[in-house]
Amino acid sequence: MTALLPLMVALPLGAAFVLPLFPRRPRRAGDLLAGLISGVLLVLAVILSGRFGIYEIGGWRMPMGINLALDGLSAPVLLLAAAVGLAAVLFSSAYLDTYAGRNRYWALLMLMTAGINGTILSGDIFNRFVFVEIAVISSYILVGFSGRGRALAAAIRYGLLGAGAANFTLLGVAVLYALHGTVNVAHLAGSVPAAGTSVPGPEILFAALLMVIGFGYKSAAAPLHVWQPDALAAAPAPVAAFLAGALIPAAGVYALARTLFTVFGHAEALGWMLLFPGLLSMLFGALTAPRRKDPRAFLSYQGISQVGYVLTGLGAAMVLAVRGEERAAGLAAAGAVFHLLNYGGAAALLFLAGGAAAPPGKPSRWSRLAGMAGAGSIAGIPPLGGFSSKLMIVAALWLGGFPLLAAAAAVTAVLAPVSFYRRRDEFPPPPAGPAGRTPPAMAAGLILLTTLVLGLSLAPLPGLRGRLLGPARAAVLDREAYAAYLEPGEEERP
Amino acid sequence: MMTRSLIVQRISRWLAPFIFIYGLQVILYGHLSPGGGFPGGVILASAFILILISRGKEEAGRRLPLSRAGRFDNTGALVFLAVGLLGFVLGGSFLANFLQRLFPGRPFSLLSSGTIPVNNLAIGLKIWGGIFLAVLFLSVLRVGGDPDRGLKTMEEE
Repeated sequence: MTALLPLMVALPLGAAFVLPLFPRRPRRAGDLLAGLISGVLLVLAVILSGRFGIYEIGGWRMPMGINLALDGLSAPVLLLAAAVGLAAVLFSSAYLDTYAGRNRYWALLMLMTAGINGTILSGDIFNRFVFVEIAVISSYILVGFSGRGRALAAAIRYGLLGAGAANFTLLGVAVLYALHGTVNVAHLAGSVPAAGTSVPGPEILFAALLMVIGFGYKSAAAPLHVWQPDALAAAPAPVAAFLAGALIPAAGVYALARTLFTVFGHAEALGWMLLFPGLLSMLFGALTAPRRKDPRAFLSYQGISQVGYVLTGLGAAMVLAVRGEERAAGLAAAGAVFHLLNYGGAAALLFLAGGAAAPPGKPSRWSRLAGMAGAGSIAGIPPLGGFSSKLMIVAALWLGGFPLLAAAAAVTAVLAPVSFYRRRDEFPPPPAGPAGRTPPAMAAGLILLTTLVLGLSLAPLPGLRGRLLGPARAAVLDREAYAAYLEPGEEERP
Repeated sequence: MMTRSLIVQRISRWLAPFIFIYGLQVILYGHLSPGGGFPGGVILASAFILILISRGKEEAGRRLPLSRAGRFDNTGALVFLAVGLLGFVLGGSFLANFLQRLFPGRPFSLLSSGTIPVNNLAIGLKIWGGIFLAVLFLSVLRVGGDPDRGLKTMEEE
């Protein structure tokens, strides 16, 4: 089944290059093609979930060739990105009517999809960097797609800062290549020694810091979040959903987790590199959000807070794993991945629901329902997924011997529903772009994501736990398992 | 438009075809000698960029119109992807060299190494169109200028 992996990148890439060849006619071909491809991608992602393996492109063996890898961490993120992608595409087809250059929009959206899927699946850090850039460069243009002053300003700021942040990632890749002579993740996992409780060498700390800055920007973690509220508030609603629900989780958080956990290995110093921005984002986002008037900016800051939870959970998992607290580390890792999925699905749902609200302030029935599910999950109201994942992270912090951090996370978790409740009249928020009655395609996108958000709430149940959270925990914590992917091809090392 | 000196215009007119042919050579011999689609494509584009610099964007846009450069860009990418997908279907792996039986790798032979020359041509086409477009757009955008007007006049040409 992993033989199907390259299609996850090749199909949207093909669509992205076919569409500009036919700039105007036939009118709805772009909608159809993008919808079809996104549907196929979701089916593929469902088929591939739960299957792990490696795909060597062109049949070239791993030390020489490029490979794609699917494991317990990449499979759920891939599924999230596919679901958010299909929902955004369905939603866009009804949303786009007021914009010129329809096929250009579809081409960019497909290019972004290809970049996101490539980011998730790439088996080496250089290609991951390239795919991240493919995804974010498309997103710069999509953020400013309406061509209005505010959107253009946000897009230009996002783009300029993003180009700067990309250099950090690239330099990090270069440092690792200079040190170890390979960019393959499995190879690096086998050759970069895990520092454990001792402090890693300065060159490893430097490379890790570069990666944290580069990918931290993409995940909009404080203090590198400056682009995110403006971009999400000004972008067309489906693009904002795609950014919050797929790009930030995949090109930001997933890429960061994959790099730190698998490439660098467990070290207490690296764990604190995640914990510091994590705690900062968690508190800063939650405290800033209520003071934002624009409902979309409010949502963006809440999103920063959620990303903070994920990074806190990941950092705690790493520190606890080094200290030998297996159980707490596993709980933190599973909680962090679970919260990433909850955040992505719910944030995308909220931005879509906001776009479907019409007229502003008087949302339609579907968007109201979808907005409630999304807000409930992000705010962490039991029994929705966002509650369970926050509980897991708080419990892991408590069990692992960080009572202060656990208290901070718990207080923030209580603050979120309060601040959502105080603004209940604004949800779903009025859109920045055009809006109409909820057409069937929009409703389909909303239903898809509502199903995802509600379905994720079931994941911690005993019967389902082993399918999603178990493999994710193992993928985060078990670095040797990833290095073992190498076994069949391990002959000559360059 | 600013007038360029006659010497610059004349010399660049003579140079451009040679640069273009050199680019083709780098692409076509990419599987045999240092080079390939990417550097060759950049050299092809630089022939047109030389015209752009020395004789203005109107002349460059007449030689390689915006729409055609865009089509090169897309077609190149699509051909590359098609080779990849054909490898997926015929060779069992994405980008597998399914033409290798027909044209096995032989030193100094132009028709060899299967799909690699095809991919070089595709990449060359894409980079040619892409780099030229990028430079053309940069030449149109100015601080304080109206980017849309610059582009429109070019599309009309």
